[in-house]
Amino acid sequence: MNIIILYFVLQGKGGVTVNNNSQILKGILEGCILSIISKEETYGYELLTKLKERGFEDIVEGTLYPLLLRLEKNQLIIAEKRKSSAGVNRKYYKLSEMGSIELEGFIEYWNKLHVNVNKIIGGMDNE
Amino acid sequence: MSNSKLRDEYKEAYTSIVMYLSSSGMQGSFMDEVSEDVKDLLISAQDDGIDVKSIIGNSIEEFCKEIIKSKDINSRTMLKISQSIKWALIISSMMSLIYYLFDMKFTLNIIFMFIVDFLFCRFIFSIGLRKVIIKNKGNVKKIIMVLLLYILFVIPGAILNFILITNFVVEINSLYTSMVLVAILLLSYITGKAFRNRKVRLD
Repeated sequence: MNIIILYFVLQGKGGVTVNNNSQILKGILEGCILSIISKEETYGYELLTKLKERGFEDIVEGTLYPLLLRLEKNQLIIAEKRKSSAGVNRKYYKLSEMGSIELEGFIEYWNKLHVNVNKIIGGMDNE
Repeated sequence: MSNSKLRDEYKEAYTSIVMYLSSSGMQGSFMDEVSEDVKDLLISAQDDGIDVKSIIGNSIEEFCKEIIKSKDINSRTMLKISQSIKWALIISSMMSLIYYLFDMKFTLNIIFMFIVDFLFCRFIFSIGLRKVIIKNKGNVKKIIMVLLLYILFVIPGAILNFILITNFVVEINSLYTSMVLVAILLLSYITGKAFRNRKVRLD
């Protein structure tokens, strides 16, 4: 899984259609999650709030939580349990070494992808 | 897994999620982990006065399904079904062998009934239970009521079993039956192994 978006495109096997953009969103979200976690250690609820603040208003934990489980399972993030102020065990996430490499790959691919997509969309507008 | 700090719709959502996930065949340790995470999430939302729906989404069932999907529990459910069928076949095979050894009359409906009832109790019931939990949004009293109705629902099933087993008797050779069942088991083992190998290669 070097490039997250490509991974999801391939995972679909039949390819991603316009109507099936939730998989693309999940791929992009994974990259965003890695990026947020790389800046500072965070936990599920805080991460959800940060994503909502940054424009992902419609995102819910039903989308986010399975992604966190996947990232943890794939050892891209490391979870450490500590007691929260409410006395509940809370998982604090930080980026692993593999996660850093993954994030670099994502940023590189994203930069290339959005330039290319803009070129095409811009090109279509000009036609 | 106390939810004493959660109130109203947060508590309701938590109970529904935990009950739904526990009836989905999730492993105990993972279940505890998810319960803790969900509890922390809902307590945080409750403290901030954030609506449950904007955290969990519009459907608790969808939320749970996403978690189940992330752990590939559906394929584990298929594995459980196939293991249950195997167990039902093994026991049926042993049963028919015992009938042969003791030279007792053996009928096809005995095996059929055994396998169907075994799978019914193990799966249909738990799937129905999950639907009930979601429909009643974690209301334990209502769920207990529905469970009692479920038990009443089992009674006609038992009567049907009785009618079939006493009236529609097709006598079969117990030794051949045992051999056929063992052959089916072997075939399913070989195909299962081939499928697993293919899956590993694809992964």
